Amino acid sequence: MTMIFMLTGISLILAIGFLSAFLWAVKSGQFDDDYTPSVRILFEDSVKKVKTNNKTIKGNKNHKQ
Amino acid sequence: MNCSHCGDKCDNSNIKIEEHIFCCNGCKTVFELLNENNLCEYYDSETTPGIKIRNEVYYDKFNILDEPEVSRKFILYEDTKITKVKFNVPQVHCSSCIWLLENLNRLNPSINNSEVNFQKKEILITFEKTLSVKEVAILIASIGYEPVLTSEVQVKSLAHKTLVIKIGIAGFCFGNIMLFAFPEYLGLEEKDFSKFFGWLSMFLALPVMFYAGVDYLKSALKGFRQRFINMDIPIALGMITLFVRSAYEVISETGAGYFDSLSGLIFFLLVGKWFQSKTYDTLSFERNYKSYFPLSVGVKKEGEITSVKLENLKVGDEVVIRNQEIIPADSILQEGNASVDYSFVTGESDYISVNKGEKLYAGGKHNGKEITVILTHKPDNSYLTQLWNSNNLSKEDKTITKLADTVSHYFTIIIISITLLTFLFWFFVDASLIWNTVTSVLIIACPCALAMTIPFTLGNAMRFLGRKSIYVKNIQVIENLSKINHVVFDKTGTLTQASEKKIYYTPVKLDESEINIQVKSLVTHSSHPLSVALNKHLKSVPALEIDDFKEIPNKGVEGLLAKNEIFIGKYDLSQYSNQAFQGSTVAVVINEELVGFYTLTSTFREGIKSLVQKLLQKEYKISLISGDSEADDIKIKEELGIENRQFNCAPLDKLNFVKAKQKEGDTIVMIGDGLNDAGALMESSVGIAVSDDVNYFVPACDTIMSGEALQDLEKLLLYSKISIRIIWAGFTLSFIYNVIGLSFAVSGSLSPIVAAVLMPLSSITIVAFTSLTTRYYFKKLFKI
Repeated sequence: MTMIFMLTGISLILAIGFLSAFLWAVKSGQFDDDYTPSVRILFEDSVKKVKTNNKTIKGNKNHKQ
Repeated sequence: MNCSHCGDKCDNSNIKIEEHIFCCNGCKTVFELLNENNLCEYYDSETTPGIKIRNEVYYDKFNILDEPEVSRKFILYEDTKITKVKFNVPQVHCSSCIWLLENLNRLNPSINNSEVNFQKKEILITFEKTLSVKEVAILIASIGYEPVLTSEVQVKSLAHKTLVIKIGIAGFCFGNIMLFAFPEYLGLEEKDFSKFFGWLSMFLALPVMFYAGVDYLKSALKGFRQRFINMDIPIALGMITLFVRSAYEVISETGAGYFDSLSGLIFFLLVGKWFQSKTYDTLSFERNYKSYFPLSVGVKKEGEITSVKLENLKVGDEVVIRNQEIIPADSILQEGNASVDYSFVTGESDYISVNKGEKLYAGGKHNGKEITVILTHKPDNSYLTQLWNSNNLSKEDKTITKLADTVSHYFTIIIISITLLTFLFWFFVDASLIWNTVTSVLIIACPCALAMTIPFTLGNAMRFLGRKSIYVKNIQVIENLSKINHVVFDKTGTLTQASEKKIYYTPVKLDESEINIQVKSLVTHSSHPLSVALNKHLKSVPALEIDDFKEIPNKGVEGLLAKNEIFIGKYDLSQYSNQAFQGSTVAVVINEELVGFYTLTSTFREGIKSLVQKLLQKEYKISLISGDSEADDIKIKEELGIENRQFNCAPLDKLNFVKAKQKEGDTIVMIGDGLNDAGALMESSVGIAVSDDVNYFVPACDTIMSGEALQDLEKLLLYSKISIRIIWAGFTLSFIYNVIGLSFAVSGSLSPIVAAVLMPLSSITIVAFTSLTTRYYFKKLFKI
């Protein structure tokens, strides 16, 4: 019996976790632009790597945003 | 051969780098710049993605960005090391553009990162403090993406984000409460469980009621205070009753409550709201003259030219205007020869030449060498801009009543009377059932399905129209369109196409085949609209090299070809007027002898004739108001059959025409394209701006339509009428649901499970019904 109370609580906490993930995604702007990233992913970035190595890391970081 | 950069035709061009050919030096410069920086991948994914550098960009105009007050408008973030700016670049049009703009750091290593938002045509650039905002603007302008420097306010889409968050929270709580309510529906014996689930549901319903749904409560309160019955009053009434009754049941342990219905209701309502809030981000419907004018102009002070912001200009200032710049205020020409294109003001596309001491009007575009003018008015006091200031035109004043308001008015009255009757009935029959029945009536009467009919029908219609390049500002516009009975057209640029001209040649001494090479060789060098039209007309003819090319403002072009002196332009043709030509004429003169002349007449857009016929058949009133002379009068009367025609209309005349007709009781749709129509577009019930490139300048309006879509105008009007009929059908459907629900409610037998089934069911049928019918009629009408 007590098991059901516990499981309900746990499932709710888990679900709240997903909800907060969704809220974070909205607030960080992941739904702001749903077209450009689909184009961006197809670009070659080979030349970039050759030129400046540390820039590439920076660039990738920014792409994740 | 096509230009390697922009793809324009450029036969016999001698601007070359190795095997690449260019149409102009601007394109060549960009190519060189990209080539030097190993950025030629730009040309890989699209064959000729480049933007033609039409006119030399005057980098001076970016000087205004040195002023902190101005540059602040573009800066999003700034610290001691980096700056982050946002520019609007309407030229972005393909994936190569995104690629190039996101690789800006290879052009200038001080740029850390650049990110394009393709749909909004925006670029976010982060750069180190070694660069200034101005230098960044110049950098992107130099590769063809000139940022927009107008004072347009950038609207943030914060409201939209909040709505999405609210939907997320309401959806989450709705789902969980439904799960907790399930055992109850299946007949739960255990008292402990129902108590636990009841309290849990109430806890989850709190954020739904007081965060996600709070706008409905607020709006209802506002309506109540202003003694104005809106749709939100019965909604709020239902919400409050649901919450109070459910809370009472849970606390007193008499039942499970209706928390699932409550959260479901709010969730569906919010989804409906989200559906109708779809907007076209890249398009601006609110532009006024300010977004058309530059931010600053060059003012001559003691021999030096300084940039002065538009609002700081004073009467008497000496302003320098360069090629292709807009005249910021009414003024008098002081120095140089002005050749002004007033097409935005009057719709007339030919250049008007102005001599020293004569008046220039704000809004004209100067073409030619630099001129100096003395201002006689301030920018916001000029002839054209007064249209906006004096009238304080705003769409809110429109007297068309919203369908939703009318319906909710009657709806609320009916609901309250039913509630009262139920109260009285049970008061005399069995007083113990009053609480149960009265709350049940209020719960079931909550017009969820009703409130969803309008946003889903019109939101759908709006989306479908977008596919046909008809961009409607908001759903209210579709409702207004359904009431139209009078269609008013502008002529130039709307009915006719400025860039497409019909060209005839009348020989005097020589046939066209004998002179076309000479004509072509000359006109390729000129950017005058008539030259451009002739150049297009003779596109298959090769051009030869010209000596001593000269462009004489307001007269024509001349040059030497094989020792023959050739002149193309204005000439006294009065003796040939019996040949009944209408439109502009361009004479061809070789060695001072007239050999023939071209007649250029404007052509109607495709499908205009059948459009006007169909509109007349459906008994719409049609008028034409044009800023042009009566030259085309007979043609419009005979070919199109428009009876009501007015010519030589100033912008204010157009506005007054619409005003007068509306006073007579007409509901008007105005269709125009230029600033000269802006007043009329604002005043009419629905203003439609026609534009061949919707991302560029269009005056403030309700709907933006591409040129090709204009022939579907009659279908648009019909579709809006059908949409309103669909709404009425949806209302009937939701009314039937309400009657069924009410029969449960008044008899006191509304169990939570009936409410929980009935509410989502009615909402889902409404959504399905409206979506399917709007789609069906769209496909049927527009034949896709």
